[in-house]
Amino acid sequence: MLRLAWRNLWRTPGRSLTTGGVVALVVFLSLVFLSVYAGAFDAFFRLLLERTGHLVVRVEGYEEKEDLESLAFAPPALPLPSGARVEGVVEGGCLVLAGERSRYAVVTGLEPAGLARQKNLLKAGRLPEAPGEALLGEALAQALRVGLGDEVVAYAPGGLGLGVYAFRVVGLLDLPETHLEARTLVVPLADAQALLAPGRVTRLEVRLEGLGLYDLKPLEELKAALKPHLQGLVAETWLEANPIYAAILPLYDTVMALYVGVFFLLGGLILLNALYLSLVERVREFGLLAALGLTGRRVMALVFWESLLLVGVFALVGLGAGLLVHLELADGFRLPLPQWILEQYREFGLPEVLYGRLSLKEILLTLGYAVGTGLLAALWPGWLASRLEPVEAMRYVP
Amino acid sequence: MPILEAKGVRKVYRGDGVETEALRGVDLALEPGEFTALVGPSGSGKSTLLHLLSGLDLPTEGEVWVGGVALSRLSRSERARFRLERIGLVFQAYNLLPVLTALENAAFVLELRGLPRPERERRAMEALAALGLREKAGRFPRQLSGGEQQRVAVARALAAEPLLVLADEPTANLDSKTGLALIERMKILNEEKGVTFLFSTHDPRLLEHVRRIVRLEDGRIVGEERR
Repeated sequence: MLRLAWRNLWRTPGRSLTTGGVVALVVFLSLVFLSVYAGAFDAFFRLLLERTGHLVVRVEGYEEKEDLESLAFAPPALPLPSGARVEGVVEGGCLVLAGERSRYAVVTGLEPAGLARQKNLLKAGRLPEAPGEALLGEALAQALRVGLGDEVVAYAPGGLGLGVYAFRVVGLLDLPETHLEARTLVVPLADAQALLAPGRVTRLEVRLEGLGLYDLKPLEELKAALKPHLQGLVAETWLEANPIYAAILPLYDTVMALYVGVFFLLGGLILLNALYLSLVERVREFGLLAALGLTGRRVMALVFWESLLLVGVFALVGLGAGLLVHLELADGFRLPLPQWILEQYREFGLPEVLYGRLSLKEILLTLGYAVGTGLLAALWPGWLASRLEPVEAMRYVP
Repeated sequence: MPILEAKGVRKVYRGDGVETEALRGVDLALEPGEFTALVGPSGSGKSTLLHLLSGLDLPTEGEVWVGGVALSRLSRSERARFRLERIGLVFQAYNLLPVLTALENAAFVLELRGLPRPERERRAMEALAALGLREKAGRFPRQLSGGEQQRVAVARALAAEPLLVLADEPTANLDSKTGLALIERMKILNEEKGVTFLFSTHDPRLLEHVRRIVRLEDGRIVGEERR
């Protein structure tokens, strides 16, 4: 039957190519869609991870505390695995003054590695390289009517630090959220500590090497190992540190699963229709085979082998094409969307450049889905052909 | 002992609440090596009778025996296997498989029986050669004329060396010259190899070549002539 099925397919190239083309197209589009979907998903959370680090250490009960004295702490020595980096951050409220203008802002003090990560957000100028240099949100700069090279003064009296510190604006930041951009002042960590709390930080960010994006188990283990060394402090995973995003994670997953489900359903219906029509028009031919002596079981076997071969071969063609496009996407791609839609994406924290991702599971899922649908489509015409008396089948009009 | 026997065969088609009696009690027996024509006007029940005699369909009443086997006692699969092993069928509309060459079509039944390729191709080629189609063995049905396609269909039936060949108006779509040539070929095979033939026709020019004529009208055998 296998040889007969293969010969039937090989000798009807038009029919095989038309039906197989649909199979290849559905597999190809499914893989590209899954690659883009995973890429968008990853981008969103990679950005989040980049902002917070794998683990965040803060004062216990920080959610309820507001004053800097309660939130700032001297960084303890932590037993971390090799390759792990710890960065201190100081964050506090201040008044930013420029001439006769002033605005409330949040001053963030970062270590050089933290400052380097702001490069993607840099709209103009450069990153701070020396004490007294600062990055200003573009909206804040506009409100204060200052530009690159101008001087601003951060004023935060009543704290542990100097309470006042002058900065030269060396760069302007373009943040996704405009309201945040209007309150952003980023400076070297030592300057922020001098202004707000000498020798202290408001959080520690722990970054680990060689850890997968969704690899949370090692983080939980490290968190548990650090606990005895955190007197009055608490360590959280990057998802725990972002409870709002963590809360929408299942929703995001559900919505995207719905998109994938709808896409698969539509693709499956197209596939089902193409295969079904190509078989149902051959019921008369199957009737002839039965008249010549092929049993119903062998007719069904023929139909199944044909479908399996057709779907299998063309699914592999679709897989090859899909993987080629995926390799391109994995190197980074921009969504081909109008600028105003991209702006909306940025508001949700999605970068313009995404990186496609496909796992073996998704590839097998797509191939399994295509083959399963192909066999399902063969079921009815095959069963029909095997059940009809040969005379009825040879007279069958679809 | 007859190679084919039908006793009290009735066939009633039911559809949309209407009953149509296509055969009204047919009794027929064929001895081995007979070359018989079944004649009658359109709608007389010739095709229906051939379908029942070949086990493609089952009678509403009565019984059909082929080689001593009662067809209605076989399951659908058993009847299919029985046709494969014992009966050669030739249809009015040729019914060749379009994806197969003339040789492959002629060898198809043997392929289904599981014969090795060299053996089945040898026998199919012999059958094609006997019908004057040796040179066209590699052609597909679309590359053959109607007469050639019908001869391939006959070759398919003969290559399998069945007990009997049942042919439903094998010359209906052929011009008279081609039709006569085909009948002559079938007759030669009947005489040389002893294959039993029963074919339906309403073409009176072909009847002078047969040794027995069975007349069917309104689903009944109304006359028989032996020569």
